[in-house]
Formats: sequence, C-alpha cells, structure tokens
Amino acid sequence: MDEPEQPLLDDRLRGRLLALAERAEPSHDPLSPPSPARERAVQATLARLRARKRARRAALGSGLAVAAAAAAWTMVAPRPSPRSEPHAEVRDHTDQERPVALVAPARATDGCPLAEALAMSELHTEGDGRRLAIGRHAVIRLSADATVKTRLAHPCTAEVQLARGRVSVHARDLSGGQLRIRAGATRVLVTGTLFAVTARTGAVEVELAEGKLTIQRDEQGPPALLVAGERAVIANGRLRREALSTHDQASLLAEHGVAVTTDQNKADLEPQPLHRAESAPSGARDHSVAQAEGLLLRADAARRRGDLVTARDLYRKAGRGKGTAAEAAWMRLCQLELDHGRLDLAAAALARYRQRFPRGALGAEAAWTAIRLAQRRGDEAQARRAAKRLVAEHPGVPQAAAARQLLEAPPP
Amino acid sequence: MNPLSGTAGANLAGAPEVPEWIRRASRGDARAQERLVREQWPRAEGLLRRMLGPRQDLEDLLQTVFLETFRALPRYEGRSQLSTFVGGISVRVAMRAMRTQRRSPARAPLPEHLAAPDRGPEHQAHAADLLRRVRELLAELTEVKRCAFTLWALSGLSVPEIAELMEASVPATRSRIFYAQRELRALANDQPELQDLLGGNDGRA
Repeated sequence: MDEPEQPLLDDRLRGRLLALAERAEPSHDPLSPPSPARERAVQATLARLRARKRARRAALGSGLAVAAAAAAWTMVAPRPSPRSEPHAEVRDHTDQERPVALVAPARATDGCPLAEALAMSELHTEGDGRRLAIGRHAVIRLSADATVKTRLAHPCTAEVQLARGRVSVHARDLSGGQLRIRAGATRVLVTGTLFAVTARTGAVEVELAEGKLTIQRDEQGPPALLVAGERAVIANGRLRREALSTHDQASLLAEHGVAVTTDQNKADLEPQPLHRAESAPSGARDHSVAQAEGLLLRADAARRRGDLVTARDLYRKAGRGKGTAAEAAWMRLCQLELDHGRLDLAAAALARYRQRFPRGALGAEAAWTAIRLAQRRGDEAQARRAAKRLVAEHPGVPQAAAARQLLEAPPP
Repeated sequence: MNPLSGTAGANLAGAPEVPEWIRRASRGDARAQERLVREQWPRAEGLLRRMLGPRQDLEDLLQTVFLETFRALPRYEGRSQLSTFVGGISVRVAMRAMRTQRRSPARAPLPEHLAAPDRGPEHQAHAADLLRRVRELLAELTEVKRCAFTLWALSGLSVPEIAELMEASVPATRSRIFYAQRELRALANDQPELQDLLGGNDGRA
C-alpha cells in the first residue's frame, strides 16, 4: 500500500518569515536581565494571584467572609513602601506577609457591596498606566508614576491613598457607600462623579469633569464643594479654584470612554489658536503632556483593533496637547489617512502639525511624510522639491538618506 | 534558566513524577508560584508576542495565562515538560484573543518607496511594517490554522511541538500549516511585496 501523501511545508518560506520576525521584533536574550517592564508585569501577576487566593479564602470563610475580604485590604498603619515600582506598591495591599488587621467590624461591611468589590478588585495594565476596577462601582486609572494604597474605612468608605502621581476616577453607583481619595492631608469625598486628582510635592490638584465632590484640605479644614468644570489646586494650606478648560474636561471624559457632546466633537476639529497651551501655568503644561501621552496610547490601541473612528478622534485630541506625544499624534493621524488613501485628510493632518509645531521635534518625519504624500498624489516634481528641502533642512537624519536616494533616482 | 527545570522525573515504577516545588506551587506556596512565573514568563511572553503581534493588552493576557496555569496545575501529572504545559495554556489564551480581535480591513499595497534597502535605519521599521501586513493576512485565517502556522513560521517550533501544544495529531497539525500557507499565498495575490516574501509553489511531497 502506498504511503499517504504528506503536505509539503515550505521551509524557505518559514526561514524568510522567521528572519523577518527576528528583524522586526527581536527575541529577548535569555541571558540578559529582565526589563523593568517585565519585572513590573511579573510582580503584578503575582499580586493578582495573591489577591485571588485571599478572595477565595474570604469567600470560603464563615459569615464574616465579606468582612475578612475587606479587612485583608486594610492595613493597620499605612506606610510608604520601600519600593518605588508602581506594581509593587499596589501589591502591598494584598501581600499576606504584610501585617493586616481586622479593623473593619463585620457590621461595617454588612450591606456594603463596595467593601466586597474593593476586596475583589483587580489591577490591569493599560498602556503605560494601570486601571483598578472596583466592581461596577468605580474605575480608577493610575498614571505610570502613581503610587496608591487602598483601604476600607468605616462606615462603608473605600479610600484610595495617593502618595504621588495622578489618578482619574469614574465613580458610578456606589450602592450607598462612599469613595474617598486621600492625597496627604487632603481628602476628596465622592458620591458619584468623574474627576482626576494629581499629587505633586507640596500641591494637590483636583479636576472635576462631571458631578460634584467635597474637598477637605486637612482634618480640621472646612469642606469645600467643587462642581463640574472646576479645578482646585491645594498648596501651602490654601485652596485655589479655577475653571477647567473645555478641552481638559472633554479629555477627562474621553479618558473614561464617556462620550463628549457633538458640539464638543465639532469644536475639537476646529483649528485651535496657535500655542494655546503655552500660556497655561506650568502645572497645566505637565498635565497636558501626560494627557497627550495617554491619549496617544489609546489612539494607537484603537487603531490596532481597527476602530479607526475612535483612533482618529483620539489622535486629534492628543494632538492638542503638549510635547512629543502631541507631535506624534498628528504624524500618526497623517500616516493613518495615508494608509487608507485619504490623501486630503492626510494633508490636513500634516498642515495641522506644521501649524501647531512649526519647529517641532518631528520636523524631519513631517518632511518625509510630505514626500510620501506627494508621491501618493503622483506629483513627482513636488516630491523631489520636498526631498531637496528635507536634505537641506535636516541633512543628518535617516530620512535625509532616503530622500537623497529619491533625488539620485532618475525622474520618471 | 535551567532547561531541565520543571522537567518531570520518573519514579521506580516508570510513572512520571511531579517535582516537589511544582506540587508546592499547586498548593499555593507563594515562593514556588513565583519561581514558576519567573521561569515560564519568557517563553509564554515569546509565544504570545509572536502569535498575536504587538498588543497593548499583552500583559493582561500573560496574567491570564498564569492564572489559568495555577488553576490547572493540580491536573499536571508530569507527563510533559512544565514549559509544554504552560505553552499549551498560552496557545489557548492566544486563540481566544484571536477570536475577539476585530479584523482590520485589508490595506493597500506598500508604496514602492517603502521597499527598504537591506540596511539602514529604516530597515527594522520596514520589517515591522511587513510583518504587520503578514499578520493582517493571517487574521483572515481560522484560529487553528493561524495559530499552527504562526507557531511554525514565526516562533520556529517543530510540527510535533506544535501538535503537543495544540493537543492535535502531527498529521492534522501539518495539514493546518499547509493549508494556512496556501491560503496566505492566495491572500497575498494583490500585494507584490508580500508575494515575494511568501512566494513558492505548494505541492505534495
């Protein structure tokens, strides 16, 4: 009887693809030390494992199950962690080797779904930052440098202690409980709202996009009510209020996927005054940079999953921020439009980049994109002119080498 | 990493034996669990990265791999290497992620000026772009074919290894790779540069 035929697998094809994959995404050298990002991810995984184990034990416990789960998250005396890694900070809450105490009595958690949700909450990595979901009650997004601890306070109050960095919070249905953000002596009490708190050395900034909240500067200080569209800066024992710009408000909403109104969307697409953010105070500038970075990451993610409408919207929003991320946002939007043959929109994005960043760090990239755009339009003469300009203005950059190749090639 | 770490031994009766530290990890010992995560992380990460490409939720997927590993660890009997056990779970997690991944529309052929020279600063970016396009074509295949082909062509695993990870027979795995290869070439028909990369004649040995 004949041997059954074996499908032929093309080893040359495999070799080419393996080489391509190695070139594009080089494998991690097993002998080299793990990267900090990997270490953080490993720590986060181990923390999640411990949290699961703790929650399972709590669920298997007696009638005090919920109280135990909540108490497991409650540290006797919050103290700074010896490590600065953000994941390690969060892990501290769930580390069984750390001293914990049942300071929350059972009756405190009876009928307090927030307590159970806090005990079962999970930390997810999201771009450079992290996201802590407290059941259906609240979503807290942490900046990459944020250091937080959580605890359950009496009665039925979930407290997030922010040592540094920024958290943006979308509090939904708190089921009769309370959510409190504590940054140093400042306490922000929430009853269902969307806001951000940034803790810096000597200052705390609170931005409120939706709802209302109460701010208490210190233990004895009188509470101050903040309403939507307001920013409060607490520094040197004083609380200063100012209006939150429409852009910052919309960005905060967008950070949590809350739709902004059509009018706002339209306004986003309108040309913005040149260097609008440059006149803002330095704190706002830092915030704007961080915001642009966050929006850029989200835009990239949307693009990867094929949600181009969201990607375009987020690129535009990121482009209105500050720093290289804002520059990159316009360039990526331009690239996106080029990839999809929307040449006019690509040209518009490029024009916005040049208007917004006339001496930007990505000037050479913009010049190269202009060449590509001209080529896609079939305008070789314009492409060559743009190539000459690129070589003259940025002679040492890699794009100039490619432009020289283009100039050396015989005209079509 | 010791290549033999996690390898099951055998007792005098010839039955596979699960190393003590893996048993401890299975019982919830924190140190043993940490050892397992640290030892197996690079391989699981490598498999997911190659199968799925760059993704923002890669770390979440890796966390899922290890949570599922510890859930399944009591069933580990030491018949295969621990890396194969974790690899199999990685493959299942990757296939689930493939299912939920929205397929992006096919893109236009690469502009000619992006056909990069063999060396130079654009070389890696060009390779990444090309690989992205290959992955876009792969997204058109069924998960099993895509998974088998990616493990074979992008991760460099042998057919028997892939069969073990995917819990399939060797002939079935070979067949999946073969059909993936053929479909991929058909999909690349209108993209000259990808045709060059994927080109060749399908046939039967």
